[in-house]
Amino acid sequence: MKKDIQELVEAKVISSEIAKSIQDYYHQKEGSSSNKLVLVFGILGALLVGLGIILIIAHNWDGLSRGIKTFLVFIPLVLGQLALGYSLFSRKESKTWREASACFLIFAIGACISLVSQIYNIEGNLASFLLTWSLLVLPIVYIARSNIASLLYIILITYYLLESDYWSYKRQFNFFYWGLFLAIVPHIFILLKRRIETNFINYHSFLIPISLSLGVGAFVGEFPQLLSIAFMPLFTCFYGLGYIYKSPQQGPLSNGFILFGSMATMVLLFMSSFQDYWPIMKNVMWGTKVFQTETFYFALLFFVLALMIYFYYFKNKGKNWKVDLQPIMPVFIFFTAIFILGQFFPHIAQILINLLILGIGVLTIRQGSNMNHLGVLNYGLIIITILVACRFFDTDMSFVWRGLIFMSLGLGFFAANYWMIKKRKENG
Amino acid sequence: MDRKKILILAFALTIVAQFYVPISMITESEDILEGRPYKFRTAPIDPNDPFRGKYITLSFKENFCIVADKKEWLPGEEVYGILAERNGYAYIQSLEKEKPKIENYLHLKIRFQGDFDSLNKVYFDLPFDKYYMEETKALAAEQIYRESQLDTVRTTYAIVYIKNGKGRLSDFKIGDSSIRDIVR
Repeated sequence: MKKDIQELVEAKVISSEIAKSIQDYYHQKEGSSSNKLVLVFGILGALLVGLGIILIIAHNWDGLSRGIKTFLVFIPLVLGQLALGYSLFSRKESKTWREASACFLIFAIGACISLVSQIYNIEGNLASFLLTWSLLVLPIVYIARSNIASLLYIILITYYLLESDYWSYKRQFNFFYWGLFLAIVPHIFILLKRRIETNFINYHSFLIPISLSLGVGAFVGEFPQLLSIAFMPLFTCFYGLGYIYKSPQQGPLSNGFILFGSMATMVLLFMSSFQDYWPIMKNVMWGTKVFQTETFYFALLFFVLALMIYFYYFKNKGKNWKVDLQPIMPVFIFFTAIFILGQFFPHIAQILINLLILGIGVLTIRQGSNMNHLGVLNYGLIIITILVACRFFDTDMSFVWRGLIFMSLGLGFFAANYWMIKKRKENG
Repeated sequence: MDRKKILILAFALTIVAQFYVPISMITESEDILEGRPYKFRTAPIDPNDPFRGKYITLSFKENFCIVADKKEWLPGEEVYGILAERNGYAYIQSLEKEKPKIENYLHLKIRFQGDFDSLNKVYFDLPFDKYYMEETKALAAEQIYRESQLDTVRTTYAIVYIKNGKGRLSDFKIGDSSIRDIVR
């Protein structure tokens, strides 16, 4: 490239100042990518060394006295603390130092606790161990402003959630999990606002929706049916959040909020498009008992949050309702309305859900063709295909009809893709 | 206070917390050793739950209690077992829902109600079922443990110190010798 720039300067296409600023730009860009590499290797290195030390201690050296073993267990912990202290006070600018030492310290803490219980044969269960570990990781997230710490923290609290009676019939609202999650929200906010490390944002954007959805899945109470009206606005919250912080260059596949929000919304819609779904939902919302369930209040909370997120997106981000409204965005409003209607008329609700899915499919296809994006176009076609396939389970249509419908759908795929590629070629 | 002082203070506090947790575990565990030692007889190991790492999984003969009505004791419920001894070995004499005022009790979690016999039996897991050993010796130790369960002459038992409802496994014996000495 340097040769090309030289040539352009000599041919007087660009001035030497412009040539210099172009070179500076690429030089800086190279620098930041090598920084990223150092960061990745720093974290990986810290992780491997930490795990190595833990494994060596975990050998459980019988020849050593209990006192010496205990002393050894504390060595990685102290090393981690020293490394983090050093990076906080002497290497303030180095993100690599901060992230790597925080990562090492987090594993040293977990190892210290579990090895102590091993040396002293201390009884204990996995859930309380994970809870203690998460509580000790939380301050590191804020003190070290560490994103790897916050990722590990989210993994830990989710694991804790799953270990605390999640799979048993007596599972109930887990206050600890929600408290722990709230504690990480300020960090996530800062991260989304600064938008510096897009990779860390991307990892968070996958972990957060998964963790929160599992958290909501833990409420069953007396009315498990209510879960769907809590889930739907939550999923569209993720979707909206994804659009708020999305940069124009970013594709939807690396944005976990958008990907998860859209997929989960569609899965829930497809589930509720079946005949058997609505009779179970009928008459759920009668009686005052519903108002005693946390599911109801979370449904309300997520609904309001979703409204706020979309209001913010269109008002403060200068987006236009007509242009920027994605087909998935208003789904939570329709779904909640249909759910309430389904209390009285389950069959009408089922028909409306099917129409809603069809509408989303058609709008997505239209959007794909407007954007000239083959992926989006085919996503819309896939939605309609799945809808048709699902209805085959409900109805007693003859095989001939089913075959004909599938053939026409297949032809539709060919035609739509062919048409778009042709349009692209015509536009040059 | 400026930013740096807050950071130093916060960092110091987290270090204290990081030390506090493991150290309090150690002191609590050492404290149990001041309690009374009991001998718990072990039972043949469940073959579906084989060697898992660097510890022997122990199972105990006295992992149940006979109650008046087993329906009162639900699986997963946390209860207190009152300890007693028979022929020198410990067993759980009765269960209570409230924390007892006496010393010799154990904090337990109910596993299931016995359906297969006419007695009102309630089963639980004794919370000290892992005996950690050096990695290379644990497999041999577990094999010896398994074989010893077929031996009707020598009894196998664990020595557990108990204080304030908590137990600490201190040794595991076959006959009169510790498993550590046997595999040495």
